[in-house]
Amino acid sequence: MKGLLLKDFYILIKQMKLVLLLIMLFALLPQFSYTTFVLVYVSVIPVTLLAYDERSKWNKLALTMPYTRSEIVLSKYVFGILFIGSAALLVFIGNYIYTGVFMDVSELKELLLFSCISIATVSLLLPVVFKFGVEKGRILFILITVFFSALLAFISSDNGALFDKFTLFTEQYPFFIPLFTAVLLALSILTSVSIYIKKDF
Amino acid sequence: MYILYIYSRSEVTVLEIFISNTSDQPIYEQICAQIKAHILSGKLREGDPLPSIRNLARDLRISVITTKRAYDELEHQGYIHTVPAKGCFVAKQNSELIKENYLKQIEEHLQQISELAKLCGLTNDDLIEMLRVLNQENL
Amino acid sequence: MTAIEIKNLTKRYKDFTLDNINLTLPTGCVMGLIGENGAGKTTTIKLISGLTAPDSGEIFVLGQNNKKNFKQVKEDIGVVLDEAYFPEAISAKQVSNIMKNTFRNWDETAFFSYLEKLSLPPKKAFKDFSRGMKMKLSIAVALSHNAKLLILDEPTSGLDPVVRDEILDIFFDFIKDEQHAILISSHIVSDLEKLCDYIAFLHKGKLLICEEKDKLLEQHAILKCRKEDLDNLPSGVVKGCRNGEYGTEALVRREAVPAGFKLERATIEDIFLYSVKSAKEGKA
Repeated sequence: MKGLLLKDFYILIKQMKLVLLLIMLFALLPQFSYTTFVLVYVSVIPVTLLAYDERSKWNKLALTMPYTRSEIVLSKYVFGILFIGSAALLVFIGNYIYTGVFMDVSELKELLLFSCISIATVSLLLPVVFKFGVEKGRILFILITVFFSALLAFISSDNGALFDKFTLFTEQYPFFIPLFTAVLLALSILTSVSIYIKKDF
Repeated sequence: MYILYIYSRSEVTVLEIFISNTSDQPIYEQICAQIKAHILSGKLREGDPLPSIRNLARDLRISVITTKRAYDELEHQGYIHTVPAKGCFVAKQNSELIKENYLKQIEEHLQQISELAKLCGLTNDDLIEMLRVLNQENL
Repeated sequence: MTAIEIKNLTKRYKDFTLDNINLTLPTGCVMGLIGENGAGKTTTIKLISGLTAPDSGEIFVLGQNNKKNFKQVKEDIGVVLDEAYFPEAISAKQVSNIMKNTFRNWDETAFFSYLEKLSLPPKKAFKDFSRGMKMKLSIAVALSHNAKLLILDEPTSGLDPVVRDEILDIFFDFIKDEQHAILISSHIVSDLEKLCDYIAFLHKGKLLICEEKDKLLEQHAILKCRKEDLDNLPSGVVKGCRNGEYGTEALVRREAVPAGFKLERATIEDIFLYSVKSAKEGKA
């Protein structure tokens, strides 16, 4: 899988410089935006990489090399998670540089929450892209963003009552969200692999 | 065309093999004939190694099946022999056999010449004269 | 061991079917796949490489069924597809780094020497490569990981004759090793005529002929004569013919032609064209 990850890395630094720059700015400089929120934008990276693959039809070539279809699928998830992790780290460091102190527990929890949202988004997007292609994946991404915005609006609409309930729930069961995300991720991987194995090139 | 270098007997022998793609003669026969000629003329001597069928094929840019066939034919006719894991080598030539072979061919040709001569009314003396002129030209 | 063995291979598409192909490529040999566009050459190669799964039939590559544990076998196969599918931003040097982490036996030195031999710039982005350069890069990659089997789909198309000759030389060198084998499809029949030991003709998804090249050349000849002469030949001798204003040209079985007719050597291209012609007419 290393070769595949390396290829994605090359594409990232050569063709996605602008996105990288923006992500770094958002992550490190709180004046630009709510830094932690950058993690949601980060979820679009694996999909964009798949877009490049689709355009160059790289996967045809990859299949002639000693990679299994599972590996090819998995490499996108691995890259995505590594990238999300790196971005989270960046936010953490940026926060320290800016405020002079490390993030406290509640901020870390928030960081974790957004990382999970990011991973969850990737988990939802990738199977769709593997099955239907990048264009449809992008449409789904927009829908998800709209959905989350609506959800947020809904939760905070009730004068925060729902939000409080939600916060309480996560206090009681702090591992609920990461666990839920992990399950979602696992399901996503299984789905993507089974889609990819059946694909004709 | 193909130039074969044989590194044996502490000297380098340069052998030429010309393959014609346009000739009617099958390629394996061409190879056979030319290697035979080299052997009979003494350019290739007993014990000399021949190139492997693969190397010959690829250097001549022909199929390995063709060269194999040529070598099989040469071996069948007794000109070369194969040493397992080592390759093909020129076999000991029976000079009597060779001479006999040539005499037989000459007889066949003479038969044909005789028939053709009759058709256009040439005498034996005419034929001998023609042969003399021909040999003089070839010198 | 055979390099490739194909048994009863069938693949159905909406408007094309690859129908019951049986093929064997022995180790140490080169097989040429000749066919028109759409005859099924690329489909066959995709099926062998595992890009597509057959509807029925089995394919064995280097002794291994390509449905199982194919990953290990792919270490020993060099594939050149009909186009070079490298990411556009990547350079040849970066390709080498990727392949280093892909193939167990990646030979970086060999790769760079091929780059030099084929005049490929190591740092230029792939999208700036010409069509010929793209194919050359594909070929360089296929040759640089100590593969035992080369599977090539029209590798010389888009290349000028000088480069084609250089690449043919490389293939000739490759096949000197008796453990190696090549399956190559091409339109450019003259290239195949030199290189191949076996020739297979594909037409509309069917395998018309699969035979030793030498046998094909020996068995067939071209006869030029009047149409009446052709009609007088015993049946089964003529494999196909072309009637012209000034006479008829036919592909004939050499040994079955009575003495007295002047025969010319047939090329593989002749044999192919006439076979396709008579296949088409057979259906009409």
